[in-house]
Amino acid sequence: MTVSSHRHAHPRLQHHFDDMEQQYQSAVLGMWIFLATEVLFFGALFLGYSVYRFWYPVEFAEGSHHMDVPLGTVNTAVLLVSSLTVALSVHAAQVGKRKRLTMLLLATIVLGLTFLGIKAYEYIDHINHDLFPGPGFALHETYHEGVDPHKVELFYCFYFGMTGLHALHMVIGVGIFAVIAARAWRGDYTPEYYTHVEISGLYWHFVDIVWVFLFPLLYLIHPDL
Amino acid sequence: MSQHVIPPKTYYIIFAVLLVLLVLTVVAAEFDFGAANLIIAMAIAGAKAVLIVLYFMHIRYSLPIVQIAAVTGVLWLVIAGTFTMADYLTRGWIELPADEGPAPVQPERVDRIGPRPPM
Repeated sequence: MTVSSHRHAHPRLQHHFDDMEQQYQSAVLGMWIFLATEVLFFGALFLGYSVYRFWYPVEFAEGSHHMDVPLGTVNTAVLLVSSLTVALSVHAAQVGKRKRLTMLLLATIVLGLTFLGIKAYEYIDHINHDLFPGPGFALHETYHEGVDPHKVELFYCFYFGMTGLHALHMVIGVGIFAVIAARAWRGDYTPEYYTHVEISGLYWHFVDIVWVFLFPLLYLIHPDL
Repeated sequence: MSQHVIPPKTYYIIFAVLLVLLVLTVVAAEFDFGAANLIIAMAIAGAKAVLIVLYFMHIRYSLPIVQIAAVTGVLWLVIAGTFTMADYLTRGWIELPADEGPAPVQPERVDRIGPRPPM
């Protein structure tokens, strides 16, 4: 690789890469390595959840019964639609449709905010029912007889901890897409260079997958367990 | 560039399957399959995750080194989970011979979230 061969290279090509292909694949690999650390980050919480659910199955079923399953289902669908818009936005970038790319990214932002809005509504509802862990925690009505409220409280520690961390990832994702959408509108992305769209999309899909597991584990524990 | 361009039609099909799986997991949770409820729920979630990774995240068409990176995180989580559960899930399975006092391995022993001390 000589300097002269770079003279006619793509303006986005950084000097330490051979060509656009190598530059793109390096970014994708780096993103996947970051996502592997994210898997372990969330994974520790999932393992903690598993241990306590195994120890206190009735209390976890009790906690799950206070969840609003229709709202959770709608929110899962909202996230799945947002994953679709992100996937389609990558295609729009690959074929160089600037307007379509921008619109799909904006749609993703709206869907992400919709998810966060529904989640906030659920949080407020839980807090109004004294289900937030802490000194004010109280079980006013129980579906299972003889449950230990403190162990149900533990379920809510996992619920707020895991969904809170997930929501934080959503907030960050919405922020990233706001920047990407503005740059897409400006025409920064072309079929030769759309790395930002691709790796931000990978992040968004990962956050979607986390929710795909959180939803059945937190909302759908069967009562007769 | 030579990236594999997945047509929108594929994305729409995967999205439709994901929605069907979502409905399936909500409906399945209404029935009592005993311990199988959790297995069914996790199998459906796993299937959704695999579809998202393979198509939305393009792993099916990615470079082998990217595919390896994608598997790495899950592999290490499985290792962490195996050793964690080999400890916690097997506590109390066997009575250990106690040299002094009552047998130390009792299910109650692992409950560290006891009632709060009086204020």
